[in-house]
Amino acid sequence: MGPIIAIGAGLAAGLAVVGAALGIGRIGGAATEGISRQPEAANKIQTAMIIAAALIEGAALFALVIAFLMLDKIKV
Amino acid sequence: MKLLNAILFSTLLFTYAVSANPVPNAAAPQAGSGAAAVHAAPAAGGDAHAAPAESAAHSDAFSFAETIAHHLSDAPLWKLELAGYDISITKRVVMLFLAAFLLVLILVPAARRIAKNPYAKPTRFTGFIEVLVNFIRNDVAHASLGHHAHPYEPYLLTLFFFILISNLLGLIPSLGELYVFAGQATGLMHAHAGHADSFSLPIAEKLWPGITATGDIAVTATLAIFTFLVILISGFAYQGAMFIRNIVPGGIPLLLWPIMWPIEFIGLFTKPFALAIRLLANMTAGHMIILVLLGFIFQFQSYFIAPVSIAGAMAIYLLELFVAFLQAYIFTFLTALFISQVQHRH
Repeated sequence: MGPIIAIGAGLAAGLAVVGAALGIGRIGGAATEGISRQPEAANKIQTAMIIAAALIEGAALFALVIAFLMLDKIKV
Repeated sequence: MKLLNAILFSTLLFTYAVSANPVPNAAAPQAGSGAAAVHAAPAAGGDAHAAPAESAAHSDAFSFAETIAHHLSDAPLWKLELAGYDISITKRVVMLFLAAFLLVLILVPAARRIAKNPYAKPTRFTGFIEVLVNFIRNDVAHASLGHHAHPYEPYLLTLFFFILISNLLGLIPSLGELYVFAGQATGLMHAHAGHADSFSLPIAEKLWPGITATGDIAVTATLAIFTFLVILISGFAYQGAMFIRNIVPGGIPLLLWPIMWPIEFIGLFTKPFALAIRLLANMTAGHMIILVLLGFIFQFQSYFIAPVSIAGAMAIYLLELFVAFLQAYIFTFLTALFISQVQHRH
């Protein structure tokens, strides 16, 4: 059972990172595009970008917590 | 009942925190010796020449998982028991007290000085506090809550400053470990003497355990439960009993209500749950990455790894400094946002 759980934990963390990377990449791309179109709104766009990135990061970290919960199962 | 549900949600992960961090038994305080031996490994590894001999001296080699668990886990410093419940003053409780004490020490004089003459030219000290307070007041409270923001300002400011100072205090390493390191570096202390168990640690460790208070689900869940209560109370205060119906956004066809209402009702609980986990995971993950990067040095026992590890850990540390501010801001901002959502549903 141990190795399967280990693979699962790795997948849980890895897939979540893929999702988060896609999300943060899109936010970054959209933000730079927005700033280049409208440089005077750079501050507002940056704030919104950081908030959205932090929210996505939070979602990825949920998966990290789940991965830890799974790893905890191996020790027992 | 709703409060009970929120507590149940948070206990899900709280049980993990407890099961992952076995607290030394009251009957056998020497139970910490296992963790102590593990901890001695990185400390002894400070000198790359001595390290192989040291790791041979005690049976278990350097282990990432156990070292990280030791650094991130809570341990009682002063034993306390009340009516059968363990209310020991643990590392994190000490950090909570320190955070509260420092907040009083910093904010009360600043408030006094500003209140004495609000139009005076701000000094560096009062200016810095004013910038933060104004930011939370204008860009968080008033931006989300508009002219209803005033009653919520004290809660939002308290949340922000408490989370911020807890996050920042967690970034300063514990004095006890510096003490042990200094003792070993100068040869005054035997390599393994300093860490017999948490009860024989020097007083410096007890006064400055250097652990992140917000890296504990009990702390973040408590903050989130307060936010949850504020959301519920302001929801019922602004909308009365209609709050229960208005959970579902307007313009939803009647047929969808049996599906939408339960989903939105669960959404009421997932908001504070997500707040708690977000803060916990962010504060834990950053420290874990720093520990893993530094752990590579002791894993590979090589001079070539050390500069890379230290540069990486330094970069992550600076990122963590930013994350400490960001997460305090996010928690406060989302609290304000959730409150505004239940207020303006006309």
